[in-house]
Amino acid sequence: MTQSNYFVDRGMNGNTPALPSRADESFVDYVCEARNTLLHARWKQMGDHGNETLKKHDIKIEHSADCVEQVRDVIAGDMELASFMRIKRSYQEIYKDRIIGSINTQRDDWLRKLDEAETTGPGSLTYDPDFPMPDYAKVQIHIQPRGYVGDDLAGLYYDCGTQIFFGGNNAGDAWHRELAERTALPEDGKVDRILEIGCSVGQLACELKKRNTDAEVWATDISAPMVRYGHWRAIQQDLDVNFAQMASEALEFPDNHFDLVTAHILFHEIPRPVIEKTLAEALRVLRPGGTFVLWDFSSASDEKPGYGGFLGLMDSADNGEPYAPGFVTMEVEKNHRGYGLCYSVYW
Amino acid sequence: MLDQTPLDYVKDLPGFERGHPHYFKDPMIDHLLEIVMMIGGELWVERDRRLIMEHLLESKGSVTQTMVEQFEPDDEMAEKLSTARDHFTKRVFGCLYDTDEHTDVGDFFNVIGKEG
Ligand SMILES: C[S@@+](CC[C@H](N)C(=O)[O-])C[C@H]1O[C@@H](n2cnc3c(N)ncnc32)[C@H](O)[C@@H]1O
Repeated sequence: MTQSNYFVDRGMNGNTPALPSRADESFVDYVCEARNTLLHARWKQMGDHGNETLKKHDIKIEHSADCVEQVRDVIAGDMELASFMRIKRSYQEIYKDRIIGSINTQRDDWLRKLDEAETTGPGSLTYDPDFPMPDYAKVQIHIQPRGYVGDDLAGLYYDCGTQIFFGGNNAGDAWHRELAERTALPEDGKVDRILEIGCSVGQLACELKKRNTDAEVWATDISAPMVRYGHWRAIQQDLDVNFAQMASEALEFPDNHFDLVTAHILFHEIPRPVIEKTLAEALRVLRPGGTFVLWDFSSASDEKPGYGGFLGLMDSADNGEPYAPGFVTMEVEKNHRGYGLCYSVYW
Repeated sequence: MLDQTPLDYVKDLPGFERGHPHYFKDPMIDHLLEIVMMIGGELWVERDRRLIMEHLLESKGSVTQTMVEQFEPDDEMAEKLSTARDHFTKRVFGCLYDTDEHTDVGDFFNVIGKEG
């Protein structure tokens, strides 16, 4: 009996495949609900409490292992902070592990589906099995075992997992549709070619394609599992989007090639030297008068510490976000105004 | 061309590896909370399944594993499940946050309109 005979087909939730069993789906719904109640609703309150407590202990936040250890001692002495951090970490662990375990009951089926999609359209897929993957990209991002690049099904894990990140409100990619609608197009109205860098499973690129049906759309990511799955996902929607494995700091496109370049929550996930090169590359491939639209965490300031404060430091250490503190303290929107528009979402 | 200069420092940044942090002085408290959160999920899974089975029995007169697995709630049932889940979470974890909400969410069965 093959895996596919053994399982009931549970169809799709919007553009995302349903998990293989009702039990796993309801478990994930519970995590989503509990996170909304126990974490999101108390985010600001606990962030303020954490920042004040660190001040009382004379701890100035620095992005270093030593500082994280100091902060851990403070947390251990404050039951409220300790329980908040415990809940945050545990829910992250149990939903990741549940989703990955669930999907892997159908691993062979999925690998076959992705293989079959490689030579199918609409749209195209390019990746290199021998891609020289830089070490920084091998991070266990969001505490996901094997991260974005080390598991052939990482794209599917990402698709199912981010439904929780978006608080259970992104079925049908509603969030990405809104982003696509808010994306500022070039003033002269010419939108023949669009590029998304760090596209993951291509939700934004697909929504941009729906909004600009005649444009040639490219969705690029350093991870082969992401673009392979993204291609499969676009095919399900009958969308002609070109997926390619490509590092944002080394874009394989000519100068002045695109009318619109977008990056949504990529920048906080790459180290500073890579951010600098990516900004230069995005500008190189953008034509004069084109727009570069960047969405990411807000920069940290003294008045509004955001990710530069207590919760950010601990999220970075315990939720696999090693590069985010470096990003929020480089004030990209202040120092790179010339690059086009920069909206801040989250935090 | 992808620049191959290694960024060696990244591997030492907090968060590069998953690690096993604990937050209380006594890690046993961490483990207890982990177990409670896990049991909360497993308990909800059972309740969710029973609600679906009752719904199917009432509306179709019979229920099979495939029917449960392929069940797609209509808007009314989806709303009921969501409300029940919300109240379940608040009743179980209400003591962890500063609100009286957990004391007045009512009986689970009344919430979902069943007699229990
Ligand atoms: C948070 S996800 C992006 C989400 C996506 N843009 C969306 O709208 O849902 C970050 C993505 O960036 C990719 N990535 C990391 N480093 C990269 C790089 N140097 N070049 C291109 N993509 C990269 C990761 O593989 C991952 O898929």
